[in-house]
Amino acid sequence: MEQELANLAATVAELQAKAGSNGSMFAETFYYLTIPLMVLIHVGFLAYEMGASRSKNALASGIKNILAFAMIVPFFYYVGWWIYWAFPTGLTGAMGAMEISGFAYANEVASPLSEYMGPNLGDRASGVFWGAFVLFAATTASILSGAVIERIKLTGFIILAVVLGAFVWILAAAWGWHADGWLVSKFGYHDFGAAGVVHMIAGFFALGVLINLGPRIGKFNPDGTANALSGHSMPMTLIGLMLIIAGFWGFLMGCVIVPGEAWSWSGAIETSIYGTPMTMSGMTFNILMGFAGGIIGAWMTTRDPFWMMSGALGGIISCAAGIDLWWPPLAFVIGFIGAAMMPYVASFVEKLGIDDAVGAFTVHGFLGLFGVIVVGIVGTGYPAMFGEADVVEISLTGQLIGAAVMATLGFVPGYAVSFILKVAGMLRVPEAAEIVGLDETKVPASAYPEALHPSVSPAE
Amino acid sequence: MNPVTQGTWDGFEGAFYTGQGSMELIWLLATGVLLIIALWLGNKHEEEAYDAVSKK
Repeated sequence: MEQELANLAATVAELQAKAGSNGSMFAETFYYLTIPLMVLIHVGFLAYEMGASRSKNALASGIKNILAFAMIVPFFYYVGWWIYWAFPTGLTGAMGAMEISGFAYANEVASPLSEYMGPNLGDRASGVFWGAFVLFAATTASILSGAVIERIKLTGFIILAVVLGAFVWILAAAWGWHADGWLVSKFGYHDFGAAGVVHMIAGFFALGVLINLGPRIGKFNPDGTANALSGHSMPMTLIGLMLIIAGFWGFLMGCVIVPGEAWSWSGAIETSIYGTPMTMSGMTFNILMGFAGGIIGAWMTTRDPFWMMSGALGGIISCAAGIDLWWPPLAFVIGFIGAAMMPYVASFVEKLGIDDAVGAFTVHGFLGLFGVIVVGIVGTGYPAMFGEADVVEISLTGQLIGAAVMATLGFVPGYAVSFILKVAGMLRVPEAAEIVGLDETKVPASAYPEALHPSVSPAE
Repeated sequence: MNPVTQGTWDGFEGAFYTGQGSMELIWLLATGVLLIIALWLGNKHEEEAYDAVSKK
């Protein structure tokens, strides 16, 4: 009998070890796979921006996009990841209630000299989490990248991209996308899919840059009316937008905390980054409903394929902050309304004399704002964090405060840094280069060396 | 305990990257220096290209 019990105990221990190993391997693989999925976002932005550029600037737009991604990686290693863990409670570096924040904690787990910032047999999470956050960071830079095509200097753009991707957005994430974040713990700010901390921040940052950068030559007439500067390949742009949407599944997957690990919020079910329970199954309903609502809403108001595909993106962004909570038909309605508003917002921005080449402020800044506020209107009352009774709840006030912080935190650095670059002569390319085209000026290569030949049907 | 000095992975846990405990700062600074050089050369190339097109 004793021998049988001993055998049973040994078998249970072996099974526990296997289950634990499988669980850790699953968690590691889960976040690892978010990374290539999110790379699709950058494949999409690459195609989208090159297609939206005139052929004389197509490669320069591509170079800008590729280099921003690469530059953000080392800077996020140096400081971005550390900022996320150091500043959730504010700028004091104090540790929060969850005891996973503050200078001391950040120095231990996220300093570039920490033993967890490299191969470590005792840590199967830091690298994949860091990688997922790098891709979020690169997404912010890509959002900026589209807005400023065809006239920004490469070096100036890289500085702006690094400031946005390795400093600004991650500070917003520390405040509003971390269980110790002061916006979360004090005001119940809820932003599951980063409508505020990624999209609003990048969109408002881009707006600040655009004011200093100025419009492309020929965009506006002397009387202030705008001309359409069509990109050279609408099909490339449309495919790029669809790839961004494919990548969004990885982006939203990266917003989920899997259960069962030492760092998980739950042993049984997925949670948001705040520890609130959710399911990926529920999120799936809402992504697709928001996506569909966005396309149809934009089609209704424009009939334009560019805005239809931007509407798909806009529909998801409109739903992103509460995509863990929505009743799916409501997600459709939110996506539909958000996307239907886009062309009017873009037109308003244009009337202000701002040349946002791809509608980045409209799609990311404005619809991020819309999505954050909608959570305060429809999602009020849900507990904003895990924990026992009387935890802080989602409220309209909390969402409005969060939205105001995101708009300010995005716009002010974008405006200030681009102003400094403008004064230093590092922001805008010279007029001659803009007229000749940036590919011929500095790439130096042509996207289509044998030229684009318009087809002519026999009847013509 | 270190797999390099011990000559075995048996019983080893923890960080095992190359240069652990002595070279981190050197390689970190090296990345910074390389970035500065690349950015400086990139900016130089860009400005020379703008000058060239302006003179045409």
